[in-house]
Amino acid sequence: MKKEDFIKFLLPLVAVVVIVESVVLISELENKKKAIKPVTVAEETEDVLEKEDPVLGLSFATESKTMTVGKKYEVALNVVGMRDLSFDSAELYLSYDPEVMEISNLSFSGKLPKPVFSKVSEKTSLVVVTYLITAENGVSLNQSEVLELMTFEVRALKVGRGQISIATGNSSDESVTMFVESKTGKVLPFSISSLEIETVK
Amino acid sequence: MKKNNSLYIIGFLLIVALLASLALVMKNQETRRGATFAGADMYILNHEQRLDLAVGQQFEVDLFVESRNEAKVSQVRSVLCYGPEIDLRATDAIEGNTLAGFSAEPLVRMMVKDGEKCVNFTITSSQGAEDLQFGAVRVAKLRFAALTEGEGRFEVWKEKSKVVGVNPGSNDKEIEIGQVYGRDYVVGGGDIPEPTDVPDDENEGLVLSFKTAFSGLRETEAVCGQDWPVTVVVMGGGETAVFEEVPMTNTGEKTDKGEVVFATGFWLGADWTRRDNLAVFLKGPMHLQIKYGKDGQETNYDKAGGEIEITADTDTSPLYDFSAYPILAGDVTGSEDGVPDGKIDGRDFSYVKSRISVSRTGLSTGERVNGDFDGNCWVGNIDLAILMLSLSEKRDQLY
Repeated sequence: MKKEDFIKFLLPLVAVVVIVESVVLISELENKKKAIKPVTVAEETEDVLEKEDPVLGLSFATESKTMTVGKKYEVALNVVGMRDLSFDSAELYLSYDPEVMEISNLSFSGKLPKPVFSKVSEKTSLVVVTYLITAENGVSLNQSEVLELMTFEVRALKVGRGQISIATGNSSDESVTMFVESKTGKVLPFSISSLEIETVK
Repeated sequence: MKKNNSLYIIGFLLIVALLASLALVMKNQETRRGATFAGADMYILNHEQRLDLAVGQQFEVDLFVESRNEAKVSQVRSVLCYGPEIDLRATDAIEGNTLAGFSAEPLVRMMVKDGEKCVNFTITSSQGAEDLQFGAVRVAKLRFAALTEGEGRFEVWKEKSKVVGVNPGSNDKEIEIGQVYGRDYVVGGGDIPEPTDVPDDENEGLVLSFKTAFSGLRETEAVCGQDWPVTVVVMGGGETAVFEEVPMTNTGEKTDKGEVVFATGFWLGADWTRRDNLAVFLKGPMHLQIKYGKDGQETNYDKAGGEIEITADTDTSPLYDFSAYPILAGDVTGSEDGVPDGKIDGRDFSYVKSRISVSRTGLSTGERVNGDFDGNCWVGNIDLAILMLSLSEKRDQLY
């Protein structure tokens, strides 16, 4: 290669390298400057979950759906994950028929922290339990994993039929069962099944 | 011609390279310039407002350092001078802001300047360089007592004061003090500020005056806990009137439970005629709506209607005290992110939890921060605890 050709090749090469280097360095300086600003940025996630299929399933478990009047039966409320997820809070509202049954002795899962609020409200015929999970990543639930949220005792008061159901209300109600996802802060959609009870003598 | 083209291209590329290099050099210098001139102001909170005190009254002032260019503050020596009308309290006179990582007990010595007493105190942060605070940083609280009638001024003795820290991009440790701001005081008056009159153009009709508090807001001079407006709904005899953005005045008082008391008073306008059996509903900017039905209310008012009576005379219309039952904090979001929905639930909890900052760096220099219920300008575990207490209390009322 002639000396003149070599210079023709080398000079543009050096110029291009200097330009690229300058651009990269300036970008890095800008990024560093941005990185130390104390700004809290709200995560922007699309609220698509509520329109999607449920990711949690709530169901009751009991030894018998036929209950003898005067006798106590233990009932559990379980949640199953339909995908891997974690939640920050679980607000549970169970409605029951106070003329047919009485609910007592709430007890709670050892996998969850103690609820900040729990009560069988005779005023509203609701069982109200609120879990708020302060652990940084919330409570994780894997796909197909079943978590017992609480147990309680049911005593039939008279012969007939009764139901324990999960109150979902509407957005303006206070008594809305709700799970809030840890990562997104969004409400997780869930499916429910009620517990039909037949009470006999 | 071909040879000429190549030369033009080479020349052009060299000029671009030169310009890019110049831009880089300029940028670097700007960054360094920021570091070289990083500075800080030192001031007493609310320095623009005079302190009205009464003889015998004990009071507090907060000393702040506000650094520029993200210079981090690790040590502050402040010399604060004041007149003979006031003096530091005998015990717990100066308390470092441990929430910001400063030692609780500073090194203190007394000085004199032009016949006035000065307290010289040095406070050091125990935080590592990464966690040091910058921006508006509350350094210490100073507790005084008013001794004799008169007036004077807190003055920051700039020449004797010093701020040390980490300058971004520089090894210089000293942060130059720029402006200093003291604060005037008067001993003798000391009355609680008169309730403000709003709205100005409707100073007619009946007058509603009340005091209230916000749950969890316990620092009288919390930087981000001032001027929170409330929405007031007045109901009675089938009539309803709504007053938005009603300003509240910090009275400097605290409730028995330690919450700061705010007061207001305003005309309800010519259209409102009902004087008795009224109920008042108050809602703060991050708070639930609370019903008040009587003076000195300490718990939820769960009866229909109310027992509040008002007149058209500012001198005779009672100043109702609702502060013993503070407005519950915790409503910060709803289905729309960051927009309160009138309830406290898991979404509010998750919203606040996700914003908890370990670095304790102020998110504001005075503007309200959504989720900052104690008004210290950042969201922390205390705010989350305040929300959890509110939620529990509200559930208790409902169920």
